[in-house]
Amino acid sequence: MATARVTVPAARRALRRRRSRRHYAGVLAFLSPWVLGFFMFIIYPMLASLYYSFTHYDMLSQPQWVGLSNYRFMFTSDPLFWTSLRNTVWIIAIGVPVQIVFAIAVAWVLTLPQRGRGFYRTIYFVPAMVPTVAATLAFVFLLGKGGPLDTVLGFVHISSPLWFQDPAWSKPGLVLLSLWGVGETMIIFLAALLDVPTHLYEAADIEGASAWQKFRLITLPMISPVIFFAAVIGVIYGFQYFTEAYVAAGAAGGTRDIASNLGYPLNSTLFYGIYLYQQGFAYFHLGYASAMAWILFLIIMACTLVLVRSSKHWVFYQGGFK
Amino acid sequence: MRRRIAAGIALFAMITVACTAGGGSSDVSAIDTSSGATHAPVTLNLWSFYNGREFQDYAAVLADFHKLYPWITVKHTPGKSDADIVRAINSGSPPDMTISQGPDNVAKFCSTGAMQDLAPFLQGDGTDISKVIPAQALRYTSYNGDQCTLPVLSDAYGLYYNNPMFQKAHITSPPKTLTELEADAKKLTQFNPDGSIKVAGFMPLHAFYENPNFYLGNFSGSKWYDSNGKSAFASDPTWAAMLEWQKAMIADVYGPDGDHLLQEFFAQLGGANSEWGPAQGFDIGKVAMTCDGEWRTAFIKQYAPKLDYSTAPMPVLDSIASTYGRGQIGGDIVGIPRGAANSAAAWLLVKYLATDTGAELKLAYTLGNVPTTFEAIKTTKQASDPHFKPFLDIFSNPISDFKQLTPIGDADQSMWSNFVDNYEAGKVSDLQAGLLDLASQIDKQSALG
Repeated sequence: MATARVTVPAARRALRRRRSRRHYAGVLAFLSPWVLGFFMFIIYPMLASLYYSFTHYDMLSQPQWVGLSNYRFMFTSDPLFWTSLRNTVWIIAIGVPVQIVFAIAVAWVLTLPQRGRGFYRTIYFVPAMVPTVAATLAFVFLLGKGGPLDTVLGFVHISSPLWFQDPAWSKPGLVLLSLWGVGETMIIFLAALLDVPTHLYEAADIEGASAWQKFRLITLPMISPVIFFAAVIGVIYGFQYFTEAYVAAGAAGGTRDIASNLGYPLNSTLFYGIYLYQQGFAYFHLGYASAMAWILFLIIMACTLVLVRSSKHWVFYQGGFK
Repeated sequence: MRRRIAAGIALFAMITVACTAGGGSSDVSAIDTSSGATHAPVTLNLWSFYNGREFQDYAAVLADFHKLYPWITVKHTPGKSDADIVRAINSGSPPDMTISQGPDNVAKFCSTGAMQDLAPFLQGDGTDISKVIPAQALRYTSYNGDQCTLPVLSDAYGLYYNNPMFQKAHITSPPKTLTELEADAKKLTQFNPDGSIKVAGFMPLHAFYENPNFYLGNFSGSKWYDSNGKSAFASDPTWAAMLEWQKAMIADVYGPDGDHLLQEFFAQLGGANSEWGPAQGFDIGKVAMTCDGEWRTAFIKQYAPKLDYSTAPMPVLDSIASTYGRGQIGGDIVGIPRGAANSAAAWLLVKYLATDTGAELKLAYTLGNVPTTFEAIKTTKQASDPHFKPFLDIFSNPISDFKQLTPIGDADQSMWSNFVDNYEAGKVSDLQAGLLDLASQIDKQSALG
């Protein structure tokens, strides 16, 4: 009898365990494509690059363990590492705020027309659909000497800068390019602006608020979650900035081998991603490039955390979500 | 738990190491190519950097090869960079043969065994390659005695000059030294009433068209590395001499604001991209003398057929005037990657492209480059073209060279280019200190492996 009292719950437990195992096996079976892909294409490459970052590795011979040598070289002996970091911080510090302000301004303008809204919205969004390489090549031509902008300025006797040939103007040129393709961010801001409850503006009107006060005290707080989103995405994208700089430097530098123009002119477009690529796939310093990649990962994570932490002071969520 | 973690790390390290630098065997056994021999069909995978018209031009030569060796079919894949080739070797599934654009990575390919040593193939064939290909081309296709690649066509850099402008300025022969180049440039340069440049006698800016080749040290007799393998930018005074000449030349010919005027002039020409179109500065008569490769002759035929010009070797630093006639050279390289599946058949194609006179000449005529075998140089009809002949002579000059090769690849060249650009922009206040720092940087980069 005593045995029976013990056996029944044990049998139930075993049954539950079997069902539970079957359940998890089923879940795992459905998840397995993602799990395999995650480990093969995310976790393994990350861990491999972490291992390589402590080695000298040229892809053609076995990696040689060098400890922290790559990191020491990066911080103490490689001036181009700092140049690339400075350029990247510049494009983020200048480019991201300018893009956000411009996107808000365009989105606001697009809320105004009573007729032809769809047409205008399409027109302003179209540049975002142009492939980055084509858009960059077009900008190098548009801003170049003898190009349309230079010709128009020539009519009023203004000499245009050398843009992508002048280190002082190459980064502003890239910011201009990013403004042209700001359509995706603009569309999100447009949706946010249209989502601001009109009764808030009506109440403000009754109180006699000026346009600036309405914008500062109603519009900005109401669209602050979208500003936060745009800022986080902009910073992450900014640290990985690559294609536009690669193509613009290659096109403006003009040699047959585009990779030989990385950073042109005078390393003013040598962004972190460009320099990492150059070390990894032009010089085949895969160990050093891996170390750079991990430092980039840590920088992006730190910046994102700072933004997320700071958001509770300036981002307003309707309904009180934080 | 610690044991499990340690075991996990060890397993991961094993997997990582096992997944890197895939090995492979090489088959150097010679193929019997006699007429009676039978062979199983072979498809050779050839990767090259070629694209567009040049890729099509290669097809004719590969068809000739197929006629010669009917059992071998060549599958030619275009647009492959050295980075692609390295990745393929690393993955353990490389092509059978590769053609790279330039010798930049030869030292790395040879020193790591990424490209197979061709000596056993040459010995198997009884070929003394030094009797087929000039030493200067063998230099830039080998490293420390390991001939892991062979040259297929080369570039050679020389001086192009505008004949009517020379006559108008009463210049009777091309300059042979940098002092003469500066004097002639001064006579040939013209300014607009607003002070901007109308015609540049010579564009000394490093970034101008093919000028990086002018500053690679051959025309100043400079060494890239000393006998200890350390960067010689600071220890070899000719590097500083070349840059000091450039600075003095700009001030003398174009005035104190010369650098800015030249930048504006270059931009007005359409910048670097104008090099490959009908608005190239020399072709349209806006630049009187220029440093360029032999291929410019073909561009001039296409875009400016009426241009009256001549070619000659580039002038050299005055201290090495006796070596006038030398030049910067370097071209495509062919090799057989480690782990290639059909090494023996690949060798037949390597040998065909690099040593067969007919193939060399066919490629040289269609691509407009300098052939790289003694026999092809001797028999090429390019020698009858007075514009092209000087480039054959420059290539044949025994002290013409590419640059000292090391496993650092073109990182040193890239750092030197940066330095020259910064120097031109006035960002290097102390030249010798700057060169010392550059040398130190290159040595540190070399240590990255």
